[in-house]
Amino acid sequence: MSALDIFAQGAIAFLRWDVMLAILIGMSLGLFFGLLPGIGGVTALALLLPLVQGMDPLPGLAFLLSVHAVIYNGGSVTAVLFGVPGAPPSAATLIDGQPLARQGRAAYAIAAALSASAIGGVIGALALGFLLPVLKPVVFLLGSPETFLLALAGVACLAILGKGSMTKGLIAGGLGLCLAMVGYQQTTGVPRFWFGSDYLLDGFRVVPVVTGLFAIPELVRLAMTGSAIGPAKAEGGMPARQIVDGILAPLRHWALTLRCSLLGVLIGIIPGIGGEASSFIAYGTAKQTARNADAFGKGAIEGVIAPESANNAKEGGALVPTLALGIPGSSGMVLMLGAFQLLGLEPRPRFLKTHMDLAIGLTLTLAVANVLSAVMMLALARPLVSVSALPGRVLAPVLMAIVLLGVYAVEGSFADIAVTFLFGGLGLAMQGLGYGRAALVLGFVLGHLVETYFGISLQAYGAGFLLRPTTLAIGLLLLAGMFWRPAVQLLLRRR
Amino acid sequence: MAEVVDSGRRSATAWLLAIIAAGAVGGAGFPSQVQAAGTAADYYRGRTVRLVVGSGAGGGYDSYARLLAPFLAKELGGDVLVENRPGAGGLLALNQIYDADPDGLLMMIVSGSGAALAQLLGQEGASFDLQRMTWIAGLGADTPIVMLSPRSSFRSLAELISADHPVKWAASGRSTGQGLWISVFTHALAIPSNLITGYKGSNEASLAAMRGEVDGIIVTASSAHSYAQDGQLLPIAAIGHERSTLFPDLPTVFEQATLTADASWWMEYCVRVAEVTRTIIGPPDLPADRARFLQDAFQKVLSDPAVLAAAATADRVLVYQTPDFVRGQSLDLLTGVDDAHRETLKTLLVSE
Repeated sequence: MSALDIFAQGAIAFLRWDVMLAILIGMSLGLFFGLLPGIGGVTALALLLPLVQGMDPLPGLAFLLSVHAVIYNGGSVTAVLFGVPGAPPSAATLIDGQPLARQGRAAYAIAAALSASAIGGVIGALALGFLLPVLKPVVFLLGSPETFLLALAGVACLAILGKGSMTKGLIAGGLGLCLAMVGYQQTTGVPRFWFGSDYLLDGFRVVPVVTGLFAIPELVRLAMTGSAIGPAKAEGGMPARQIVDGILAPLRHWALTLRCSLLGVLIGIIPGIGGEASSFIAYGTAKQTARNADAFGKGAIEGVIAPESANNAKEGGALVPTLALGIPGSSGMVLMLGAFQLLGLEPRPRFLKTHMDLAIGLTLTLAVANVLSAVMMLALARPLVSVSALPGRVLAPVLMAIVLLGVYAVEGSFADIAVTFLFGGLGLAMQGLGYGRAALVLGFVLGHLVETYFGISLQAYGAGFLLRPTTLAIGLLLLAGMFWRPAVQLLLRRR
Repeated sequence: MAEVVDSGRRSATAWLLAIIAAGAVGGAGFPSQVQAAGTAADYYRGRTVRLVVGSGAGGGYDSYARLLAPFLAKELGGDVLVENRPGAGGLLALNQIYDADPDGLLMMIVSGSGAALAQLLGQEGASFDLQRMTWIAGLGADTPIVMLSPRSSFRSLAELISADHPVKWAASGRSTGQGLWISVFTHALAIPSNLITGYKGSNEASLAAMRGEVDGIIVTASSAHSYAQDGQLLPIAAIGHERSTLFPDLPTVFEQATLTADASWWMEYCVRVAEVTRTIIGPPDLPADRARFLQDAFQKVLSDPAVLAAAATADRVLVYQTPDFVRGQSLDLLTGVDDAHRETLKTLLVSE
């Protein structure tokens, strides 16, 4: 049987009314959870997992996968409109999405974010489809040294994430790295800087940190000024023109969209790196390679496209080790794996030989859910934009309640709420003094990764780990990806 | 020794408290056992019991809790809420349970041996006393299996024992499940080893072995069973006195190696650690009738064919262990270690 026949079989198995229904319901639930700050894909999947028991494998898995695939789309809309990231990965979208909303171009930013998500999701699914026959060697290629390299490349973005001043970017990033030191050192298990507090043993959690840094200052500003988020005359609420422009924006910047999507796939395949890292790294590389780097943070549409495409492409990548080896590529995939088992399936190499149609069905689910959810969210965006036109003193308390509820819901811990306020204060101070909060988050998220995987690589391969052929090749590729544009520009200018 | 005496006094106090509590709840001067059970059933009817998991959603312990919760709710006649309280490898939640109100509405699923070792080694952040906890049930032992990477130069236990260069192993941490088995196992058999820690969990550590980043790992039989398919990892020995039902052809360490007296002590310790893994415990001083009611409920749930079938579909080991057994085994890990062995254990498991 040729590859095309296998694909056709998979596609036919996929085109069933119950699968479509499962995707539609899953998507709606995913978007709903995504709108609530704090509740990410993992929490939603944990809540919904029992529902698939006894279902047919394909609709059951399609249902859960579509919940998970679209969850960050809802969060990105609230990030743009209210400055409240629905989940940590959406915080990167906020950096440029919020300024756009303030300029009355919320519809443009939202449409671009959703369109980039859809394209990223489809590219992620395509990449998964292409990788299906060679899943195992690809997963084996990416080990601890490669994870370390990728995290290091992310850290290199620190300086450029600062608004304007490189020194301030580095200071903010350094603070993030320091905050990442709190709690257990992962390679030795020895706790540091925990000051005898049980809460700090595990270090700061990413949801309260990100929510505090980004959402609280925005809500304070809203409450203080009392005015609406968008300009009084929001240039026509939701003009069709803005939406069309927004949808086309990722296509106009196709090279950026493609690059960030592929970066997302790569990050997804590596089990150690999470979603926050993928969107912030993508944002950093976008700014690094942009001609209009100065516009970033002030409403550059590239700053919206980059994290959104990377973040949705990531799940296609995360499915690779899940399907190939039964080893989850992200925390959401841990639960997907549970669903496989609940339905009597065991993903592993033999699984692909016998269930290739199912794997293709899941790939298609990923693509369809991403596109459909973008369409659905665009329709929902209209009422949400009108909500953002409400006066701040009405909106701020409501949003505050939703945000705090979301933060509490993740782990059921009041300490998380206290930490949210603590970082809210820090966020306000940083905003006032002109320090980039994104650099802090990047340092915080990557600090763990760099330290841990450097430690593991050193223990496993010795100091020569950087000279292994695969490490060297991936390292050079990353460098090229980050610096080719500035290098070419430099050469051209010399001439 | 002092600890044993202490435990005796404590349990006498607990009994006294229990009788008083039973009297108070029953409203009668001399409550009989039957009446006490009746009142406990009344107490639980319509109430919400929280089953705490010391890690985030999606892990093994979480899956067990979510698997059992609906069946348990039916048995208790109320609601059972699974609550994730991640932190400090489960120690955070365990500290909270230790300090919680003993109203019988709060339980935790925790690694009995992990908790015992944390207390034995005086791990930072462990501020509970297992001797005072209320033990409710155990969910069964899962034999550890030693597995080697197909890309490793080592092929068998004999080759490991006669290794001329350090064998590389992967684990998330030294004192957590896998790390402990590796440390104690390699120490017992004097295998020169380099334990690489920092992997996010057993999944990532296994992937490192498949990839050839390390030579081997030690995982529970149920995980090992799935990794052994298609030769992704090669099982070479079971750590237990009996062979694992999942690997009937795989000889145990005791069958394959001749052990010195001291090596036997260490291998025994390794086996004992594996015997108590997932246990259900409650706060100290739980009223005896409520503890009894919970213990009975778990016994019924864990011997229910429907529950066992659900566990089998999910590829999970599930065997009922009595509260006395899991309590005894866990406390034995804690108290049945002489000073010399305790010091060695500290050097093996605590890294600086």
